[in-house]
Amino acid sequence: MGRRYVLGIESTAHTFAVAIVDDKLNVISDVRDVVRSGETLGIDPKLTAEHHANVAPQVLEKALNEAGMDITDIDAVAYSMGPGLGPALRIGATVARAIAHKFKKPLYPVHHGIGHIELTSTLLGFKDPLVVIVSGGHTSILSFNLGRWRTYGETLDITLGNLMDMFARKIGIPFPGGPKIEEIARKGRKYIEMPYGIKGNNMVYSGLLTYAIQLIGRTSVEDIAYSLQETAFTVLVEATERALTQVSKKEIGLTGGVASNDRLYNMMCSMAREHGVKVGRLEKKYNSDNGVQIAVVGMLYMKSGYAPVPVEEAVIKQRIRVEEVEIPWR
Amino acid sequence: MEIGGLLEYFLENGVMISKGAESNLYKISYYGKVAVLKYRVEKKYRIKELDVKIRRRRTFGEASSIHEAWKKGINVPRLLYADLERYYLIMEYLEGEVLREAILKKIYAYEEIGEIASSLGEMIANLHNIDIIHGDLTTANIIIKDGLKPYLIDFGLSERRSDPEAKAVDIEMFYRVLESTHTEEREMFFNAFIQTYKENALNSKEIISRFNRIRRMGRYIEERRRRS
Ligand SMILES: Nc1ncnc2c1ncn2[C@@H]1O[C@H](COP(=O)(O)OP(=O)(O)OP(=O)(O)O)[C@@H](O)[C@H]1O
Ligand SMILES: Nc1ncnc2c1ncn2[C@@H]1O[C@H](COP(=O)(O)OP(=O)(O)OP(=O)(O)O)[C@@H](O)[C@H]1O
Ligand SMILES: [Mg+2]
Ligand SMILES: [Mg+2]
Repeated sequence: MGRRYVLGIESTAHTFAVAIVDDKLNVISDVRDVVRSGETLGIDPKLTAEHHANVAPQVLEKALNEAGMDITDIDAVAYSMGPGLGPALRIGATVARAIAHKFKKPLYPVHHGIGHIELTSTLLGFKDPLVVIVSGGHTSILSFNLGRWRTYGETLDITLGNLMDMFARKIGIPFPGGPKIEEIARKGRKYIEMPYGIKGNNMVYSGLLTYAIQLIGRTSVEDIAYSLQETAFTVLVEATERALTQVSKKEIGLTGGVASNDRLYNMMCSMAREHGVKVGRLEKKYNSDNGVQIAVVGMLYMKSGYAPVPVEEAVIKQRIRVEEVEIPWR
Repeated sequence: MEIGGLLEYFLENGVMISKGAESNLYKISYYGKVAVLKYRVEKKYRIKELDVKIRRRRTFGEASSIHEAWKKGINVPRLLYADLERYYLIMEYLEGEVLREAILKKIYAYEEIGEIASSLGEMIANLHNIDIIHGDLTTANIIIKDGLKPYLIDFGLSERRSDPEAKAVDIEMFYRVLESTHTEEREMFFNAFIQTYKENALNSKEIISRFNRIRRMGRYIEERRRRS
């Protein structure tokens, strides 16, 4: 058998993306189109679905062109089945089903979060990592145990990305505010004590946000940003350290938009060093939603000989949790 | 002995029994008694100001909660000494099994686990009744001793709160641990636990309805954000 290829389709939220990977998990092509939602945090499900439906044909075509392939050269199709926005998910699933049906290709529904996790593990070359996802949509600590990826800690209210973006908006910085907050925080000098929210291995950030917001105008914004960041990241790193000592893993994979923050990365490294644990983070472009994460998981399914789903059973699950998904390749 | 040398003395003469996320634990001899010294160590990843505050607050919180619970007859180690300048405390040594390992190694029969869970439900109810939130309820923080009697340790994240929400969150954290670590025993364990909790906790109806609400919401953080 020659090289095999899986085409992955992502459409859980603002991004419609198609990618192709080979059986060594090399990225052959990677095309994305992100809906412009203006400067807001939330996204409109209907507009998003419309956008995805409009761009789907050209994104697919471009992905095939980039790879220099014809749709018939593909060995299987994978699509993000959830969690995410129903209307957006339906577009990706429909495109995937159409290809699978017309060209008689095996079809694999993929959990979006497991896409982030396995892509992190693959690109960093990690075998059995603790994965920390920090973005606008997620803040969770996950580890593979007893046949499944399981959540060992997560935010109980808002995500770390939301925290940064919502604070940024209050000081007039447009979405996404995280990178600018990092810059401003570097100029902070004085640490202001703020609510430190930890419950077991879980984070609580809303009290911190409220507190930081009400300090605006009363003290230097640099000091607030600095203290906000120090507090929020210390909570996350502490939660990660707790999870780490419980599951005793030797690698930490950091992913999601906030992983780009150097202060967070350095704190994570400092913590890990004391436990003799390796830390890696993804290249920026792989932190955001993409088709590669879906194609990679599709390929893992195919290589492990897992049964593809018949087209009529290829559904979406808006609320699916990582714990619900069987992992035949680990 | 020089001032501040007490900790060094204990550490030199003690045996390390555990190196956790935030503290090192030593088995020591404290005026002839077998005891445990829990020392919260410096963490280089956090800035000095936060590091010092966290260590002091946790040491104080743990010492006062253990002492308060012990006074009310709840099964916790007796507090023997606390030093808030050097962030350590000394407590009674509990000779027994950590519940987490005991369940994982399957050393208890099914009915025995149920009995432990029942005692635990009553114990947590009693703790909540005096407005102490444990803050880190896990099977790793429970020692089984004298047969099947559970003892509660590790109060570093404890809080003094009377609101049902805080109590519900405490229980929900425990549920998560059962879910991720003791998947097989979870249902039976939790049913037995919540039964005696209900019977013994003041305001248990309100606490349990909040618990159920949190269970529903916590899972779908994703969805909540998308809608916002
Ligand atoms: N340097 C940085 N420091 C802090 N936050 C950052 C930084 N760079 C990006 N972010 C934050 O990362 C988030 C964007 O992350 P990302 O693109 O991975 O995902 P998302 O679309 O928000 O969520 P998801 O992919 O989980 O659905 C934003 O909240 C942004 O502010
Ligand atoms: N009083 C005690 N008697 C006997 N053993 C104890 C006692 N206190 C703690 N231990 C042992 O030490 C281990 C760690 O203790 P503890 O849970 O208090 O610290 P930790 O988990 O490191 O703290 P944290 O979770 O806050 O980082 C326990 O699991 C138990 O095996
Ligand atoms: Mg994502
Ligand atoms: Mg503990």
